[in-house]
Amino acid sequence: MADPDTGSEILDGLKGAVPVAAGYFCVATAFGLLVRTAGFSLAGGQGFSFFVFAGASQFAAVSMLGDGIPAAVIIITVLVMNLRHFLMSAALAPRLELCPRILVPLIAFGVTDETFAVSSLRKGPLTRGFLLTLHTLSWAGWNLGTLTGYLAGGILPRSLMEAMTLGLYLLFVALLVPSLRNNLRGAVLALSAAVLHSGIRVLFPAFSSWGFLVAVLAVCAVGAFWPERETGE
Amino acid sequence: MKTVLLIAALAGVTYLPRLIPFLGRGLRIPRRLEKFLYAVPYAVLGALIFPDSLTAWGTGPLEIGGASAALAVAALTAWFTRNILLTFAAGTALALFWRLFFS
Repeated sequence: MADPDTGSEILDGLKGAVPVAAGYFCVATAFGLLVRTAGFSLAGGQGFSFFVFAGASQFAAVSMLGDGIPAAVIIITVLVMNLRHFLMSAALAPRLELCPRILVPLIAFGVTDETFAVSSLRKGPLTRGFLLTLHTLSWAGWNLGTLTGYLAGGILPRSLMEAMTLGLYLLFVALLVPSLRNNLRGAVLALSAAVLHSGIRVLFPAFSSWGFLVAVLAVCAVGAFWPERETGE
Repeated sequence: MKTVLLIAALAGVTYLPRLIPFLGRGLRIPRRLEKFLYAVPYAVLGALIFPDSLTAWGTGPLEIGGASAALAVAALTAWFTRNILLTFAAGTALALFWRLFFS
């Protein structure tokens, strides 16, 4: 089988990246605003998007920092939040036969929910032209948005900024709710975690910084025993 | 400096799970682990949103009411439009109106 033409691969990467980068730009703007209100420097805030490049966990990390939660808890939380990318990389790995091994670590950095969605829908082997274009543009959109949000924080009216302290949670809702349609399993998992976390917070306020992790791990542990016949939703 | 170290640590724990599957030779994931990992994003998002979103503006009834209203609007928008931008806009719009009206 002849190698796919790199030019057309890059073009496909571009096409796939446009909706992802556009969405990332918008969400990242909210992140840029958030880090600015949280008192981060431009470099600090941008550093998150530059090196971590993981949507919801970036918001969670900044939010937890603001609550004075210890670094160890934040690190473990971010690890757990992003563990699913392990599954995604595992799903993509068999399709990278045409990629030079040396580029794989670079490509791996760009595996996110959205880039994975685009890659997994693509037919055939995944080439470096496609993947690097897709990942780089998505990452650029995310970083540009962060920068824009940070700079915009200097000119937005106060009431808007205050309204946006809720924005973080609105974003989480925007990410979670659509995935719950026709998904009883997901809904049960999310609801259980919400209730459990709230319960721990109310009943054991002394352990509030660990409550999140405990709730998530408990629900996932139980979720690991979800009945087989229902897994094919 | 602490920020730099934290970002480095977060970058590391985020990057490694993305990289490791590409290094092995055809990794087989046990079914149990697969189901565990499936649950993670749902559990995480559920726990992230509650209870903290309700007290994001404070603990008074007006604050909790406003937060709940904005969340509810966002949830409905998300359910019917599946659009992140619209959801965010709808929730923010309600939040803005609530604050302007009640504060």
